[in-house]
Amino acid sequence: MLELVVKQGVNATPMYQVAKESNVAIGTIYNYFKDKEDILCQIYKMIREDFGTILILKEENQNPEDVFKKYWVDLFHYYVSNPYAFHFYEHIAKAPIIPIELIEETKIHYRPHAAFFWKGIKEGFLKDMHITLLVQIAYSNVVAAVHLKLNGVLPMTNDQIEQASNASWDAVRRINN
Amino acid sequence: MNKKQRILLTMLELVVKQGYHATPMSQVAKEANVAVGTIYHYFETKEKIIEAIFLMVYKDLSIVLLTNSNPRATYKKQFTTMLYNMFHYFTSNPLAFYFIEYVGVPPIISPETVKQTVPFYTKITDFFFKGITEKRVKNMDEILLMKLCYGLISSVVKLKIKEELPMHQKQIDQSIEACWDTIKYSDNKLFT
Repeated sequence: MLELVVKQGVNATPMYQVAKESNVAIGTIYNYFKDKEDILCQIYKMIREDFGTILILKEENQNPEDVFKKYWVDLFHYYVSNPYAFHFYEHIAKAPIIPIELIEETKIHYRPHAAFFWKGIKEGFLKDMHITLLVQIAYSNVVAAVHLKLNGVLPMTNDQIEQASNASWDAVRRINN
Repeated sequence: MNKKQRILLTMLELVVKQGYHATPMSQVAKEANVAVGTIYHYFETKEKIIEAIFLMVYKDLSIVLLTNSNPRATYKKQFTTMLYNMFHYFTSNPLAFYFIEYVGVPPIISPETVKQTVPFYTKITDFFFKGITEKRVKNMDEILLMKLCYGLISSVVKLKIKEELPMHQKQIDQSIEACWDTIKYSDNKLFT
């Protein structure tokens, strides 16, 4: 299903095709899922849970720059090794296909991550701006790098990954002029 | 507006709203108020229409980016002017923005078509090369530099369009300042 909706779009993916390509009877799908929307929601939940595991802060005492870069690089690798999840999450998974309630409910997986940004703003090692804006800026840099890699525009060697995550750290860290 | 333009703009609106695969030519013909045969007179296939829209939007953007550019201004000023232009272009042309983000991407758009946009952006690419040579920006692949900037602006445009943030002037300024910090020269050995 994930593969089909990414390739064809939600509207152009009928249930009978999902059944055919996953080699099960249509009735079997309805045993597990209420409808197409239900499957999409389950995929969405799965990806958000994955984020939860990637974005866990492992060591409390690390310096913020290392923590940030670790988030960055781990998320980059997750997306690069799960390209369908990436396309789904970036291009398909949005309201109203995914209900607002589910989006809100699964935000719980971001808590440790959000805590890092709150702390940074409060303690002054990150830029003082709306947290949503700050998180979005950091996230956008990862997404940009993933696009380059998945679309074959750049090889995204380890050096390039390091450069990009370093540039991204400059984007969010407080710089005193 | 001539028929060809009408077809392009109708298609643009439909693919953004419904998706590429869910937009049949018959509907485009109907809503653009032309015969299906007329469409095929201008474009061989649906792919060709999408390609034409893709080139139109990217050309448009490349012109908009350089609006008010002043070669005598500081490097930073020239850079941030481009970013303000980009932000305003996307927020005032959401159809073009959604097209670039969701439709005009691989595999719908082939690498050959992407290559055709390169000449539109030579001035901008040169601007980045100059920045690298003059140690104004980080010494890294210019494509990576440009993509980081583009990605940053497009993601804050999304915050605005989806009404997740008001993106008032201060937030726009903060985003563009962060973008400058992203590319700004660093003597870190990573960039040597």
